[in-house]
Amino acid sequence: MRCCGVSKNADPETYLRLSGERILLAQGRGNNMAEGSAMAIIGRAFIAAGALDPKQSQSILEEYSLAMALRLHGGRMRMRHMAAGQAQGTRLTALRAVVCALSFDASDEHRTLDRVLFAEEATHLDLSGIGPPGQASRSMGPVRHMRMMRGMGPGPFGAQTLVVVDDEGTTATAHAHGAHSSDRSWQATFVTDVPLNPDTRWIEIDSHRLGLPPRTPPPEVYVESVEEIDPLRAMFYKEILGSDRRLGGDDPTEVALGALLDTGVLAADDSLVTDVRRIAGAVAGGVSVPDLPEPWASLVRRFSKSDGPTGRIPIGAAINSVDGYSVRFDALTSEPTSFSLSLAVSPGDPLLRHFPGFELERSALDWWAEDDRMNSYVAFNGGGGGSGEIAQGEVHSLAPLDPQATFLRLLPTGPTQRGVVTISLAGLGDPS
Amino acid sequence: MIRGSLGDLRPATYPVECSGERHTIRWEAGELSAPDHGDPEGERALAALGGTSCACLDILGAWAHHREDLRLLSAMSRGPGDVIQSEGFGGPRISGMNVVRGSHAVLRPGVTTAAGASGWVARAPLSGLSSAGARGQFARTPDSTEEEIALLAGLGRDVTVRMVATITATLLQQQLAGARSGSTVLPALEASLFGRVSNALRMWLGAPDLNVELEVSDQPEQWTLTGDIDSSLRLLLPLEWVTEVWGRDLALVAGRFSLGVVESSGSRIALSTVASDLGSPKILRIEMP
Repeated sequence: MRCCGVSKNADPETYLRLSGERILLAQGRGNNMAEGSAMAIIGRAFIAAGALDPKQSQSILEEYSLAMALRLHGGRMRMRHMAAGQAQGTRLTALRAVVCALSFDASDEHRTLDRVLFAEEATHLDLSGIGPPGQASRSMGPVRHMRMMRGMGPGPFGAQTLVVVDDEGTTATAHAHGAHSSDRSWQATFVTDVPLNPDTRWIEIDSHRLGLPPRTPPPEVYVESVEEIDPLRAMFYKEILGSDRRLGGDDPTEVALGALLDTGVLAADDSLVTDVRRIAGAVAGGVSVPDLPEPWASLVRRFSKSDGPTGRIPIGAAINSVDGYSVRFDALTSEPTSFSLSLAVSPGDPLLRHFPGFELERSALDWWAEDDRMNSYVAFNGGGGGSGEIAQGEVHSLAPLDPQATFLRLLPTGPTQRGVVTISLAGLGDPS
Repeated sequence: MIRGSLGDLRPATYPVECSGERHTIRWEAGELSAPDHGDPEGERALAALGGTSCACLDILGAWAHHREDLRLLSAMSRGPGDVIQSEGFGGPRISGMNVVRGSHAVLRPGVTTAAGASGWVARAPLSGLSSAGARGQFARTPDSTEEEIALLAGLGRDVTVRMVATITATLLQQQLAGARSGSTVLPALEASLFGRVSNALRMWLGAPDLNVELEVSDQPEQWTLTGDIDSSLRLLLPLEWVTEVWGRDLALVAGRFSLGVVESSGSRIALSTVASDLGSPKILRIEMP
């Protein structure tokens, strides 16, 4: 006799398939695609433990992904989205970043230049605008709708292209990418068709000249190898850092542990079980426990704090390749309870994986950081968009910066490499 | 249940709009047929030459490819309440067929495209369907495989229930005969049994979150149902339950849950059944006129 259903003594493949059956049985009650991630977690656990072949696991997940797609409206489109695969990447560059709040009036609205990033191939300008009171409700609804549909216009009041000039006389046309608007206000990133001089002292936007702060030395950037750890432990660390929990569903660490323990792949008295539960408990609860290994101990230390400095600093640094991913850090924004990094990644999938579904592959990059006060930080996708080739967005930390820290090392970490970008926190404002 | 006894399952049909007419796809004794087409093989060859498409023959072609495909067990409906919505599938490689849902669902052909026409060339011949070699010699893209599976999964409850029974019986027979190792088919068959029996029990008891613990019996006539609806139900069932009970649409009869077939001859069948109080099994006899 063989037992299945609740899984005890099931072989790994049966266990994985039963998790798929439970997801199908639960359809229409809860977030099925988030629940699909439980199946992916189980698949990853068995692969890491050597209990299932990766190809076989992938095949089973695809099988249940198809089964789910056959039960959901628009399921086929979701499947296609998930199966899109990794796009070709491109090398990202950053020569200078400027964070500012330079305002000017144009076209019956008040505009603010929030950020400028000078790259080798183009210059990126983050602009926001706000129109006069009452105008939106009078006539701008359809216009906004049309512009959003076309994915072109920055908002109800903004121009779709800008003419930008630098102090060497370079004249560029900037087109809007990634626009957001609401009522009278809008935000957009404009990208020039030719790069502007990274040393320019000012730029003109539609004939409005805006002075820029002096160019500062670029942050130190390098790539180093990461210490190889046991695949099973590495898998658990990834699950602990997984963002699936924020989408609902079960604790990914316990899902993986349950699969390995129920099938006898991992013994209940294995020290790994105790280690993983201690780390996961500390990270989930934000409470430090004795003898927590690094980097977890220094990660959890700042979880309960809300004394982070408030401010925004430019970064303007790019890493050619961390395990095949080019990363560009644009700016850091710090608040009392957390900080966020504006960044771009190519290929874009690490920033586009908001929807775990049945994907066996986890995001290849984790967003670690550490400061000169022996604190570690980790950040999660906080929104963004783009294409498989390049995605741009933000990652948000779980804890605030230490107000006494003077520098921060950003550590985008892949399976075998991590980038190191050291930035000074001197420009961040008063801790209060 | 061995392949021969699939003949005990009553035939099932599904309406299909094919070449502008209403045709029927028929399942009987483990075989799928298109009775409105006198010479499916010949028509198929002509269609391939002429670049035209025909819904009935597309379905037969898809079945030829997947009649031993474990993926159909996970794709197809688990029973009442588990509704398949295959719209969005059926691209040009599967000759542009769309599923129309509703009480009188009909499969109808879409616009035939050049790509759809070329899809014919990649199909297995209808002859020699039981030969794995014949089925395996045509390369298909992942998309066309998904579309074929979706096409079959959308053939309505009566036909798909019997297709699941057919695949299950075939794989069990192959495993018993040593043609396939248990490790390659048993996990999928166990998962199929779990999903289908769980769905039936949940429908029966009106308990969508019912917890089911299933133990797979090695003996075809060994079955029990115990436990508590509020906590979990413990089932001991053979894999054959999918073909013998579920495949006959007899999982729930007269308000009782069927554990297995005790006796079957012609139009008569005797089932071992339990009531919702989970008392002792009782024999329920059914006789068709």
